[in-house]
Amino acid sequence: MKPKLVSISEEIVRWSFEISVNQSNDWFIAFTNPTAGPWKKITAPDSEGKIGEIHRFEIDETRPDLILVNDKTKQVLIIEAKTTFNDLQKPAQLTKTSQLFENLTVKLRNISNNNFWGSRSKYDYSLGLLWSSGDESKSQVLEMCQEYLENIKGLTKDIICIQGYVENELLKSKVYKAISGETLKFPN
Amino acid sequence: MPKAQKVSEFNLWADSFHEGEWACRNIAREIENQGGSFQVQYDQGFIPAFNFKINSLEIRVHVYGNYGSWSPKPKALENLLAWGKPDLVLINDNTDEILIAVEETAATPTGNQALQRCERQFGSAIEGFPFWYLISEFGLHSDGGVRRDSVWPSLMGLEIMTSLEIPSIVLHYSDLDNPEDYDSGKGLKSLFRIMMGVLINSTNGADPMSGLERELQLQIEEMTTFINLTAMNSLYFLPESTSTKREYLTKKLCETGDLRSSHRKDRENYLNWPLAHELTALQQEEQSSRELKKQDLFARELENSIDKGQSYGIIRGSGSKPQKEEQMKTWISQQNSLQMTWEKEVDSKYEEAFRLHLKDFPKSPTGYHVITAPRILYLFDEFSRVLECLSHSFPDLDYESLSNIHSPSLVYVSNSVKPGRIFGDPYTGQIAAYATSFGALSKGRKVLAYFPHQSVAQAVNNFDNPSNKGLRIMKELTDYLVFGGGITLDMKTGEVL
Repeated sequence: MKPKLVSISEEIVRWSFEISVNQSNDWFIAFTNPTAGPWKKITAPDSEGKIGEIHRFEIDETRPDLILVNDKTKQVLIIEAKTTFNDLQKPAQLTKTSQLFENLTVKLRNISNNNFWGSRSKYDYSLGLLWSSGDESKSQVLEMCQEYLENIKGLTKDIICIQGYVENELLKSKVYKAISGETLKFPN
Repeated sequence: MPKAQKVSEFNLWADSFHEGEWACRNIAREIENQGGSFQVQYDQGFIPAFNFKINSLEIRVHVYGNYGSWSPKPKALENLLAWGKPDLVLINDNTDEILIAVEETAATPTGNQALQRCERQFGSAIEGFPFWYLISEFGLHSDGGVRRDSVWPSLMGLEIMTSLEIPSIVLHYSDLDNPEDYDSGKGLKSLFRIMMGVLINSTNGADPMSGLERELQLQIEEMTTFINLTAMNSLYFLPESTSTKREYLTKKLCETGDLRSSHRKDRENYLNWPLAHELTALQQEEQSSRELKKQDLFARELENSIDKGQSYGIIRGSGSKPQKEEQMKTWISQQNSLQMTWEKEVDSKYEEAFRLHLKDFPKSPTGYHVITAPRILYLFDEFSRVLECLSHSFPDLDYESLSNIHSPSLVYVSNSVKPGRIFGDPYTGQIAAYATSFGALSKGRKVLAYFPHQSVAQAVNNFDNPSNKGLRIMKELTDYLVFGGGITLDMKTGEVL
């Protein structure tokens, strides 16, 4: 018996987006945070393509949901994923995510001597917010992102929004910069 | 002419898509090692659909991650999930039959964590489903040291397999030099050889474990080796077992289906724990009563029974973590309130039989100690001796109806004060592991659990609540629960004695 999808969770939107990222030639996943399994460390390839460990999270350490890297555009995306837009709007979440982004950005910018991270410490670091599309308006999204930006100003100039949505029974993601409106291309 | 292809469809349900896809890619590696091939595509943009080809077989596996997002679910899966969510559940799409359930952990659990998943292991067994638990044998602790896995999941697995005749395998990965490394040790590849074998057998219409005897035998041997190496870290001693028992067990497991009800009377134990009077002189030397941290009449009697040679303790050490004053005040108030509300509805003989007072808990610089009995388990030769302890401790209550029970007994003690806690982690896992490991499934020992700081009202109010996992496990594995004040609940009838 094949089941039907009845609710889109954070896990499903994130997973679907990861498949897009894996099909991209430019981006790679340095970290993903599912509930269990061998995925508790940040990894990246060195100049010879050998993959090594950048950072291992402690059991109690706050982790992001995804870290993506683009070596062509020299960008690092640290992503918080939630099932709904409302979850990301909550003040406690805003504080927690902003703090996490700040701590992790500082950490990753300070490990230029790591063979597997090296020059990536000089990349542009951005916060990404991922959720499943609901009835939130453009202005609500902009307002929320400005609040996040206010908390982490000096570290980044824009917030990357990743909205999961269903089109013709296919789960897709729309990826764009909240302030400038620029679209980022990922395979769908 | 090309050979006709046999095609079968399977669904791999998973807690997360990552785990489901990770499992399928490991199965794919085993398929390729056997000369087969595989392809993967993503249905609807995200559902991994694996297509394995080996010999004349085509095996299709769809991965469904995140249990809550899908409907309908097979009834067997719903029943299994009620005990907790395993990381992977492989289901035949035609029959909706569960082939195997898998739990896997990325880190080595330490202390009570090790027991948290034992309730899933037990739930899978009692629902009649084969269960594999992949766990890191060596793990990095936050203090920089290396920890080794606990003996309990393995011990429990062997007892489940012997009593219920259904696989309940614990596999280890990693080694001392490579802690938490999936590619070190034997467990990972062994798990996926079994999963591949089950898929191939099911596609061929053969019994799921057919031809997998050797792999299963090796897995069971690894479990017994691990138990022999690690048991003494937490136990005073381990009874001997014979290697012929392992071979017999493997044979049985490969023949078996769901034997839950039909074989209840014939259940055996893998290990036969001795009675107190059968202990060797060396084993007896380690048995003597200890001081209580917090005074408690029944706990005192339990300790005295060791000096009298009526029982013995089996688990080494038991720590005491002080609790904060504010929390204690809240919990005590809640327990007393629950009890007083319950008393209004029942016989006056229970009036004020149980009240908690903060002053009764020893205070330390960091909080209040809640430990009464200094050990968590007592193995009694005779249930009547437990009854004597109860009667001496709670003379106003009548335990006469239990006087005709003649059986060895296991007494489990949990000193938790927080309301409801005994029905959740880690206590339900503890009860599942300890009761199963010491013979509850074979009914060789009567199991009694003592909760000195909990009101009986919680169990009475939830007795028929199917979503209370703790009580479900206790109904299966315990005979009597003794709450604060000695008020005792018969777990087979729901009657308060």
